[in-house]
Amino acid sequence: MRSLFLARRPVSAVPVRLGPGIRDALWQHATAARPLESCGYLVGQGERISRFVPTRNLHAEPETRYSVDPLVYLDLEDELEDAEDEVVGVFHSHPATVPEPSVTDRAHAQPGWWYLILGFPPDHPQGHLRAWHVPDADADAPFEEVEWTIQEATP
Amino acid sequence: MTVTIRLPTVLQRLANDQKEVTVEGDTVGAALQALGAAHPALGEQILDGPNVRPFVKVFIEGEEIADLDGEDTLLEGGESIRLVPAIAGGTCGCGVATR
Repeated sequence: MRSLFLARRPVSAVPVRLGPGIRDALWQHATAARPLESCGYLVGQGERISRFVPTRNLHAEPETRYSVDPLVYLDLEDELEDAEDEVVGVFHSHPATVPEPSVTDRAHAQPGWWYLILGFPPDHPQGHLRAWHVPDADADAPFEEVEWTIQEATP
Repeated sequence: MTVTIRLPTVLQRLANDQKEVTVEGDTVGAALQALGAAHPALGEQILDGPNVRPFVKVFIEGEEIADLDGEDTLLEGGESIRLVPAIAGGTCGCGVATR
């Protein structure tokens, strides 16, 4: 078993920026799916997330697990082939627990991607969104928490 | 057999930023081993010895190899193989990974 841990201190000087409407879209998708876990891809560039693409949760045990639809990923890669934006991360929800990545989340994590988790623990029944990142290609690299902010729409 | 393996964006940096890599192989498994030999860091990410890691899905001409013969799926030459990060996880009752 690889050594896994979370770094509690935000490490990114530049926080993840959620484009207009992204936060609401995440909440709506996760709330509609409860008590099951929900998931989807994050599209953007660098630290900017401009689009949330929800997918079905394909996992056989969706109460406590999620599996993002890989066919949606193929379609996104085709769609974005000549675009500046790309798939930069994944969203999923924890319907009744804290938004911290689990051992299984880390085992499947792609270094360089952003991981947004929306949890609904008892002390945050309205939902609590946190952002995570595996910063390099080291197979044993830990998840590190990063700050997130909402990017206002440009007039 | 010569085939083309198209890499997802997140893995391209492990293959000198190439979108596609051309390799030789008679089976999907052999082609992926050839890819790993040409780009060891990428091989480490997608292969566990002779097997594809469970969090990598492999499609050949739009069909997942899990629905064919897996790594033993035969190649005729000229096919396009695509790798997709199989993103999964969740609370799963196994707790948070902590130091």
